[in-house]
This record gives sequence, C-alpha cells and structure tokens, in this order.
Amino acid sequence: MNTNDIEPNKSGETPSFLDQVSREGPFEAPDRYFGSFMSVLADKIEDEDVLENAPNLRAAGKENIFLQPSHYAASFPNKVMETIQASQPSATRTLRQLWQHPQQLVYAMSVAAAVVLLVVGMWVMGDQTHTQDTAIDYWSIIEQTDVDAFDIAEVFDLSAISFEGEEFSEEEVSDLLDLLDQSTFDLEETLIEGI
Amino acid sequence: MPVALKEQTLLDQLKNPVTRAYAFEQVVRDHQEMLYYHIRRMVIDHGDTDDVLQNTFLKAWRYLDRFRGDAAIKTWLYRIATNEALTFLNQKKKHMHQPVEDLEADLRHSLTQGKYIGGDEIQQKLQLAILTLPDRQRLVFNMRYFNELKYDEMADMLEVTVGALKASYHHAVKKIEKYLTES
Repeated sequence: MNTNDIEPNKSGETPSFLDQVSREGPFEAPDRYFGSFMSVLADKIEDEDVLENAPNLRAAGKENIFLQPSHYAASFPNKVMETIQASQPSATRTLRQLWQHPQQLVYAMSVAAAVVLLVVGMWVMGDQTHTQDTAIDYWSIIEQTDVDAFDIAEVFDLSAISFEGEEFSEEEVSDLLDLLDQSTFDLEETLIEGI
Repeated sequence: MPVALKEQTLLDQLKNPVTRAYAFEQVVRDHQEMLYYHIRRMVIDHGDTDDVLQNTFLKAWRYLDRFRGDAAIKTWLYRIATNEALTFLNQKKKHMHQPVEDLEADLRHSLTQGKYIGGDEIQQKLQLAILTLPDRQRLVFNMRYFNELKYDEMADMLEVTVGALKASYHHAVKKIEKYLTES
C-alpha cells in the first residue's frame, strides 16, 4: 500500500499505516477446518490414550525406514507420462494389434483384397477407354482372317455364343493371340461392337 | 495460491483435453511421494512398490473422465493406490499358491534382506510386528500412525465407517504392543 493513499479519519488525523491493515492478516484456514476441529482433536486425545498403554510402540517412533534409489523420485513422473503416451492408440499400434488376432487379420485381408480389386477394376476401365479408338482396326484384321468372332470370345472366356462359321486352326488362334497380346485393345468391347 | 483454488484449477485443466497431460503430470509430482510410502508400507519391496505406483497413476489417467471432483484428488488417488496394493498382495497369494503365512514370510524376507531399507533395530522390529496384522488392519494402522490421516479422510478413502476404523486401529496398537513386549 502506498502511504500517500491513506485518507484522514473523522477527527482529521492521519491514521497510522497499521490502522489501514486488516488485523486478520493474509492467513486462511482450509475449508471445513474449524467445523471438524473438535472431532479431530477428540480423536487425537483418544489415540494418545491408547498409545499411553503401548510404551514399546511409542519408543519405536514413527521414523520412515523405507528408502528410495537415488533419482527415483525425480525420474518417476517422466516414466509415468511416457508409459501413458505409449498406451495411447496410434495408427501403427492399431495395425500391429490387427495382426495379433486371427479374426481381425481375416478382416484386414478382406479389406486389402477389396482395395486391390477396386484398383484393378479402375485400371481396366481406364484401359478400356484408352483403347476404344483403335479397336475397330483390330476388328477389321479379325474379319480379314475370316475368324468367327464368337469363337474368339470363347477362347477368351467371354460370353460364349456360338454362331456357325468357319473353324480356325490352333495355328491361327496362336497367331491371333500373339497379335492381341501385343495390343492393349479390349477384345470384349470390340466383339460386342463388331457384332 | 490457496489449496482449494489450486485444486480447482487442476481439476479444470484435467477436464480440458489440451491441458490434461500437463495437469496430470503435476498431479503425479504432487502425490507420488505420499502414495509411494503408502504402497511401500504395504508391499515392502521397492520394485513391487514401483509397479503398483505406476499402475495407480495409469488407472487414474484411464478413469480420469469418471472423476467428477466430488472427493479431493488426494482421496481419489489414495483409494486407487489402496485397491492396487491390496490386489497386488492378493494376486501374489494366488499366483504363487501361497498361504497367508508364506506371504507374510515373503514380506518379512523383503524387510530384513531387501534393498533400500534403513532404520535401526527397534524400527525394523516395529515393521515386523506390523506384518503380523491382517492386510486391512495393517493398512489402517499405517495410515493413522505414520501418515497421520484423519479418520474421516480415511473413511472416505477406504469406504469404511469412522467407528470401524477406530476399533481397527486401537486393536492393531494392542497387537503390536503385545508382539514388541514378547519378542
């Protein structure tokens, strides 16, 4: 407190510094301290009476005989917090846990297989679009070799519809397959459009 | 900062996910020593105490959301530590297929031969006398005699009536005095 802030009292005299300070001081008692004081005191007196009849126990005292290794207390909070952080679920840990349980493993593999199929499917669709422009040229080659398109469909395990037509030899099929292997066109698309 | 205000600030920080870890570390620092000795007096060996103390704080962290602040943090932690210590002793009895006498012998061995034990002969004898008490009575005696906790605090921590605690403590004092007189 600044002494210049002290105001004169009713009699016009300037009060002393102490007059301005609360006599209770800055000391606070814990919550419920006074409310429980009597019962706490009574318990202590009762315990003292019991200990009066236990001179050997009193003689032994209350000294703590349990020691800690040096630096144990200082390092303990870090140890606990590291353990807590390690126990938090992370992506890596979740994956590791997946491998530890057969049912979860099957589930994970199913998901992985579905993802692979999806990627392959997208790749095939993309390839199909890419090759549509050149498909008609290959169809014309097939027509020139006088091959039944629906037999080719059977060879490639596509929807097999048999039309009567000229049969082709293994050699012809082989040549055709070589021809197709070197290309990226979609045979199924070509056959459907061609028919 | 007044104790009540500090406790409330800590509680607020524990509820906030951003400050939770920081506040919890503070809780560990504030209570680790008190809980260490509470557990150590029950399980005797330092290594076992370390395990139980870590489990105590891990459980406290895991169940932090369930702590509503009705009791003081200290009371809540004492409760967890007590349960962990008693569970540890029961598991030791079960897993090692030890009868009660063998567990007492095991604890006595830790007390007389183990590391990190100090004190003079009479203080060690007092600890041996305490080991002859049943686990719960040992707990009550240690909390009242060494930790000097109030009965109503202990009643909250152990969920037992004050009357039962007093009877248990007074009975323990008599048994210990008898042991010390006879040995």
